[in-house]
Amino acid sequence: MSAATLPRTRTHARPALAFLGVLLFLVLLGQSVLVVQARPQDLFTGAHGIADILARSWPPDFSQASAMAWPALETIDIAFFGTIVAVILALPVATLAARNTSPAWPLYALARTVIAFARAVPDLVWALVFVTAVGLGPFPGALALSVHSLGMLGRLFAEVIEDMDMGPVEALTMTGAGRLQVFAHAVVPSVLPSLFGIALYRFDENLRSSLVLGFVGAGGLGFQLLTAMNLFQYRTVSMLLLIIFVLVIAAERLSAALRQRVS
Amino acid sequence: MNLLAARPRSAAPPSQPAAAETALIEVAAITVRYPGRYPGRYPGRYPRSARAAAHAALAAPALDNVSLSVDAGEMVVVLGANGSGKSTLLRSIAFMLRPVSGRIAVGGRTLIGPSGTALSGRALAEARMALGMVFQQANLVKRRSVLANVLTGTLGRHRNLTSALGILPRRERAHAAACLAEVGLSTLAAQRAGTLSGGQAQRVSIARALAQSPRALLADEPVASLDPDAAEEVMRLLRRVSHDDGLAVLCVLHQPDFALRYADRIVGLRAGKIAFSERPAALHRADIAALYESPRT
Ligand SMILES: Nc1ncnc2c1ncn2[C@@H]1O[C@H](COP(=O)(O)OP(=O)(O)OP(=O)(O)O)[C@@H](O)[C@H]1O
Ligand SMILES: [Mg+2]
Repeated sequence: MSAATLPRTRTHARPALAFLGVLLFLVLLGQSVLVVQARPQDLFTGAHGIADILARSWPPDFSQASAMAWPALETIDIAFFGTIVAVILALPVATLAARNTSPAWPLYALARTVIAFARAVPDLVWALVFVTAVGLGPFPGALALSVHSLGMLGRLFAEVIEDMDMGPVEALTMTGAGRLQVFAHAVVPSVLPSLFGIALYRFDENLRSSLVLGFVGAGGLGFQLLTAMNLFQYRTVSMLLLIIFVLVIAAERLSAALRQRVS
Repeated sequence: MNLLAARPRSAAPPSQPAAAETALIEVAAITVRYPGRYPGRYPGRYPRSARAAAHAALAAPALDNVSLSVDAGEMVVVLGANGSGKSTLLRSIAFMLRPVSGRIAVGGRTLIGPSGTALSGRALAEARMALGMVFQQANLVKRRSVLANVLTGTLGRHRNLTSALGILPRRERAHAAACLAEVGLSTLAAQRAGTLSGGQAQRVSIARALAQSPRALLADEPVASLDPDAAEEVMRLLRRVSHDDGLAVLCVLHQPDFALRYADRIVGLRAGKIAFSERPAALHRADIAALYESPRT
């Protein structure tokens, strides 16, 4: 195609293409409205119910706030445990899953499969699996986060390793250093700060996930929230939501500040 | 700066009695072909079988029956146009590439022989220790200190778990510091490598190579990205480690002027073949210009 014909084709093709695009978009939107059985009018008729719940939630009932200290700690520690274990597992797995550090392709393929599977299964499903396996409580939640985060971290870690400058690796290999030494002295120092930042971000996400995991029996504030809702104790619910809000914001701020430090 | 205090060229290289008879680096009639897809990204992956190396590549060989030797205490500069095979020559000597035929020996020890024998494992690591390598880029680990970078040059002597964790004998630290002093950068020992200027970084990379206690130094365009002053300094340094410390230095350059001023011998490569191998005094400018004339197809 010559340069002269290019603009002409474009001016002709553009409106037709744009029209088709808009049409396609509308069709997609329309089918989603049908499939989710959207009934906006119900929001209006239900407004009364919402107002009722809000009224019954106010003021938050702080009389039991001190009893929530332990569940809150549980929630934080589920996230902490899940993140730490995931980091420990993701480091070797990501090393195998990065093209430039993987020693052999079967290991590469295996590592990629493990990562894809751990990531594809949602943490909520992992939690259900582990609740069945080890019973109710915070432990299955922590395990669920470990496995799911392994998938998320493994992929991101592998990307960081693949993007690394290979110059120092080559230089160290040429000094006669062994594989493990090259890894420890050239790969690790180059990627560590990025990995640390990613892990902090993951902790932040895991804290929110660990709240939801409580709903399927993994303890913590999520479980308290579910109980209070089932008992229609809306003032306890609002108190819990406030605590959760503060926790999530605090974790976000902390991890953002730490990430700033290392970069 | 004491870099100019090099001994006169005629001085005998100190204490290399064994190497005095045979050349330190000896390349005998090697031919190198690149297979269709050489896994260039992973330098540690050295093609093990002779068949793998011989495979494919019906195109002209990157190196065609090349012979070359470098004595201890001698500085040889390789000149040649882009694609003439200079890097290929260095990569072959450094076991990053495997010639299809020919023989390479370092310090009288055959590394790659005609029967297809090649080193691997510990023997390969030991052979690599004897060869210091300097690249166009300094390739330092930017987040670590200058001294820590120099120390990594000693890792090959300590292939064990503790050294992987960064624990090296105290004497190695002193050795690394001495190597840093040799390139004149002792004052920067604690500085982060990422903050160095290009010339300083290149000198640190030479210090890292010296920390290996090598017998030979291979340098691939070590001054290509340096300003004139920094380049002079690096060239003086290379000549000094060659003449004073008795290392065999094989250096690829794109600057004929540097070659004429610093080399004991200049080797011209054209399209994978040796065009000449002469002392600078015996060389005419026209010989060098001819290297760059017809572009390689
Ligand atoms: N990884 C590779 N795969 C295939 N062919 C290669 C590879 N590396 C180099 N070659 C070819 O081998 C020949 C010699 O290349 P080499 O890199 O040794 O040249 P050079 O003299 O170092 O050039 P420059 O001055 O550009 O660095 C060239 O024709 C090049 O195309
Ligand atoms: Mg080159």
